Amino acid sequence: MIPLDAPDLRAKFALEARERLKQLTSAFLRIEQTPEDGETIAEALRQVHSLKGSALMLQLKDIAQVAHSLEDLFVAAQVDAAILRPSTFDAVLGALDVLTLRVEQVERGASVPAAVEPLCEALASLVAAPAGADRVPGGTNRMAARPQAPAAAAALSGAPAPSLRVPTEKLDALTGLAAELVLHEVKVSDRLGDLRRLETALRQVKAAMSDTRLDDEDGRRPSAGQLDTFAALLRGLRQLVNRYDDDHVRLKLMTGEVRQHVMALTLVPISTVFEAFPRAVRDLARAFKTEVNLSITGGDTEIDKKIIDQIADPLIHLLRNAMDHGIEPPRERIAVGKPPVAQLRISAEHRGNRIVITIEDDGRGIDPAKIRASAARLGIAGTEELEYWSEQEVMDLIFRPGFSTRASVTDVSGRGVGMDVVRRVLTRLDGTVHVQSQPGRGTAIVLDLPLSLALLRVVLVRAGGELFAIPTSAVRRIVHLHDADVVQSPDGKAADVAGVRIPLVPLASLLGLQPSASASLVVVVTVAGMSLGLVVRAVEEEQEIVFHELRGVMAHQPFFSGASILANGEIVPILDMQALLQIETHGMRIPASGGPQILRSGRVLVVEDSPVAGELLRTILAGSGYEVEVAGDGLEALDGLGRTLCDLVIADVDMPHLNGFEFTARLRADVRSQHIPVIIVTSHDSVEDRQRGFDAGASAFIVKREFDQEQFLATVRRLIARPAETDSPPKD
Amino acid sequence: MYGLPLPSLREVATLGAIRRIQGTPPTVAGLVNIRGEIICALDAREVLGLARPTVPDVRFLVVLRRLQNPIGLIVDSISDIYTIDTDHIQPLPETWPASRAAFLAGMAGVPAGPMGLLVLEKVVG
Repeated sequence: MIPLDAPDLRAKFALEARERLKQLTSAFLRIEQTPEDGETIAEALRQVHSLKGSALMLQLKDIAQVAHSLEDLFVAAQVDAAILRPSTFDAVLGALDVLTLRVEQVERGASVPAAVEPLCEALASLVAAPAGADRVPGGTNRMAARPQAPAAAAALSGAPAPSLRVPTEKLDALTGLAAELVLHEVKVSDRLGDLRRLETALRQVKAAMSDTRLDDEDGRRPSAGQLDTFAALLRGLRQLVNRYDDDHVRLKLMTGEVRQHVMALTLVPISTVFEAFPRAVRDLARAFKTEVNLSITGGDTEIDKKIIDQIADPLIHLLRNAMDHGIEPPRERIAVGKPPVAQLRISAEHRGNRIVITIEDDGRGIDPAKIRASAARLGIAGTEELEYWSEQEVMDLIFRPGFSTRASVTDVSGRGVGMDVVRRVLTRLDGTVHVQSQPGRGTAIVLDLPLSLALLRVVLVRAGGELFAIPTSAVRRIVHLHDADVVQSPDGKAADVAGVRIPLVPLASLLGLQPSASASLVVVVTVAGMSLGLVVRAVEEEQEIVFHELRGVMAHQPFFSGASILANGEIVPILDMQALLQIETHGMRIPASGGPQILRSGRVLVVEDSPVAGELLRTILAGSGYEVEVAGDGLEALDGLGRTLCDLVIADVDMPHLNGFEFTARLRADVRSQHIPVIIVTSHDSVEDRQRGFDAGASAFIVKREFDQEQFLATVRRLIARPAETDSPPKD
Repeated sequence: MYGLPLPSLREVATLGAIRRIQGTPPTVAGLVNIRGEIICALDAREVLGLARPTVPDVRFLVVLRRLQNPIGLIVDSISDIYTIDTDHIQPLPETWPASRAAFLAGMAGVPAGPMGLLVLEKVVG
């Protein structure tokens, strides 16, 4: 006999049962759409039969009893589809809910069986009831909601690939090891550099020793034998360095692959969240008496399991919102000339290393006038001021805590998760959420998320003597304090950065540390429409880091979302920008327009893949009155140039897709852009690079390490002035 | 001297750099890098409310195994492993402050002197 309380066995049962219940629900929703689909009924029958078997093995008699009743029902339905009435579907879905709940209890170790007799009797009565009792004539009224398109249904229940269940702790351990491996690879790479330098130094020593004109201080000279031995040792060393180099290249490649594969392990298709939606939409449509056609696309888009776990609730909330506030009942829709059946579209797609999820309905939409009225009532801003806010800014108000345009709270939408929570979750995940809406036409909510939480781009800053990481996604600008106009406002210090007033606060004092007197850099961060200037002592660099969650007692502090280990082994905490902005309550909004008119003396396109370097160049140039645009890589820049031309291009050398030289060459090859001067900015200062740059058609060459703002601006002025004055055709 | 149940011990390491995390209570010393793993370290002296006359040059980090995530406890030194008969566990002297007694299951005598037996769940919260 199997011991009943074996937790292992219970967990296995729960896993299996949950999977079967999921399949059952999905199959049943398909049956609801096409009751004549005998194959799906047979599938449901198989699932419920297997579930009964497993439950009996564990002596979970109540589960087995409900499963048995369902089995009876399905068998009867195979004989006569007429017993599949709307009330039957409700009862079956209700029974599946009971089973899901019981499975959860069993997993947690509760062994008291539930009283399921009434439920079983209810199911039995459905089989016995005369056919057609509450069957509504006609096909279209069979159900109020048509929760999913057949294509989506097929996608959701597609044949599963062979798989293996692994506890997440094991995966976490593996992820940690892979991250460690990456860090060690960097160390190995550093050691290789050391070794190379050593070898070079030794070669110089050897050269000096062989130079017979040079004598030792004591007049002694190494013997020929000694020189030979030294040369042989040096050759050996050189060989070793070369082999080490080869090994390192291989190690680097493999490390990269290991990291990618490990990352892929935690990616799961987003359909794991989406597959609950057809059922939810069906139930909601019944509750609100609406008719909805739900279509789901991109269910196979893969995303980090940890992200999925956290966005499931916000997504359900957005869905409820759409059903509650957005979609009108059929009569109302007909009255405004819309088809009675509303469309609700959920889609997911990859964009680069991000994933974009859109929830779109063709319902009432959001009326900006109503939001403005609510905002004025809540005292967020004056009525007149609100008139100057852009549509997007007004729409963004719905994400504010405590903001609701509806006076009454329904039991469906008012379940604790508000739009502010949706935004908070997204921000924590390094994502964004935006709403687009047209009154009367519908609403689209767009979520933008990173694919994986494991890697995060951050800017490392130093404040109060310690290093902190700021997610690059939040950084708008980095400026020198003396370049910004510091003003004393009633709330404290503020600065006008590019014509926008931004409150300033030393990062150190925000964290309760002693601020350094020499803190003179301002990192302007923007989250959810709020901006803040963090004064720091230094901006170290931008890099990609491995994100580690803070758990236990560490999770209770208000400042950080996680931490990471740098290549040198140092731990750096990652600032939670949303939390910081909330702490610093006088964070101000950035108005979309306004500010002093910039003196436009030329248009400069900066092509730079590092957002920080790009931002620095933008700041310097914009400060001198140039109109600046930043492109993340060469392809993006060429794309942009296709639309509008500029007076000068500043390009980085090391960029993905198209490096600075290739980009310059392409620019030169196009008749529309061949006259535009190009400044190449690089971190490598070598004769070869300079030659390559000029060969490709660069007009000037600037080395990052020797970056001199004055000289740089002088070069920019010179190059922009030239073609405008002469306007001579380019010579080849 | 305090004792921890051996099965709860994952490893003992000399304490390296600690990264202080602002906004945490004083009992939390900070984060420690143990071979690429970030571990939260509690300061045993702070937790037990002990005086801190001098901090020894070398301290140790006791990494404790837990169901959720490992946690570290910073201690001054590591003494030895003792087997204690549960019958020989004595109640705490009444003179002990309640704030410290709350973390202990009792006392036991070992060759090195009297030892307070820590209740892991209470110490690490």
